[in-house]
Amino acid sequence: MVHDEELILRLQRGDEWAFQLLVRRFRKKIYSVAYGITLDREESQDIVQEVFLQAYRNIVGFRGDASLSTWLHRITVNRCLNWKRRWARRFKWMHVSTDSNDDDAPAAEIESPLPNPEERVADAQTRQQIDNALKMLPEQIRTVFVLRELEGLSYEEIADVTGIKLGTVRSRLFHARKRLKEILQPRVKEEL
Amino acid sequence: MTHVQSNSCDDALLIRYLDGDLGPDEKKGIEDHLQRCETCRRQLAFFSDFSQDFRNHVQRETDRVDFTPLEKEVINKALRQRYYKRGPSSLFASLKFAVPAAAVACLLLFFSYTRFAVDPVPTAPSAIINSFTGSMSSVMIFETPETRQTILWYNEEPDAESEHHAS
Repeated sequence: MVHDEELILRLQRGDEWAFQLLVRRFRKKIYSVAYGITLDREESQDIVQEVFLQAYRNIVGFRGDASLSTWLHRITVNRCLNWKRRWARRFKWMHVSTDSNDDDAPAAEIESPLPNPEERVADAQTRQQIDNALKMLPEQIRTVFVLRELEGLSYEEIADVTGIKLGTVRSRLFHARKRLKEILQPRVKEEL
Repeated sequence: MTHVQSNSCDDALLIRYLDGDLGPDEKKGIEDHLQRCETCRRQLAFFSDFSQDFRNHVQRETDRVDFTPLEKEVINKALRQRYYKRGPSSLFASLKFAVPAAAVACLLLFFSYTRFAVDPVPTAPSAIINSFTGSMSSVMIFETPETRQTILWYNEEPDAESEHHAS
């Protein structure tokens, strides 16, 4: 097991094997964050590539002020927000349906290892609901929410990764959940 | 440190409780409140369920991705990037040795070729076919395997003046 410190040193020396290890170690983590923010498979894969290439280019200047993981998260978040800006200009999300009707969901969405077809549909509907609800959150708020929920980062770590104040992290997380509750109100009522 | 009124509902504190962002006193206060407030308990359960669903959803999406080709592509791009990053200076640095080496190789090749590969001029035997010698000129005809040569030369009469000088 190569620790992050050693991995960084090897990367800074240009060790090709170390880069391979870096990619293997963090690829899923980065993809998860990218997918959570962009909610787009292909873009998330592109972002994963961009993050690693940027890390490879800039590793020499990495001084260890933050952990390797935090540093990669920072790059990922920046890339994702750039992605959103890029695509916002092309009005891509204007074409994404935001109602919870699942009739137009692609067939792949229903693919699931669940044996029961009813459960499959319910599961696909839940996922669609989640996607739709998250898409309605402003990108900055969604980013903070994703870092908290997927990566389990503390408020301080989120502030570090995103470069915002601790109070802003608190207020964004509060607004994220409040907004999600409003969006998913029918589901809340069902559960209540 | 904020002390929680255990009989009041506070969404902000509830969310911070969910995220583990409360100090011990606040945590105790909200836990006391939760024991008595069903609305907040349901609220908390809703947020927890949504978080769990979201994590499962992303996990499933992540599991569907085949990272092997992606990894290969990233590594290839990184290596290409490293090559280009070195830039023309490294190219010229390598040329510094390559050009003289190529010149030496060319010279060696040239000399080897002229020395060993190119056939020398054939030195086949020749034969005198005929020759004549007269008072004024002589003729000699000879042959090589590939040519027939005729050599003709004249006999000069020494003039009187030169004979006079000679004597």
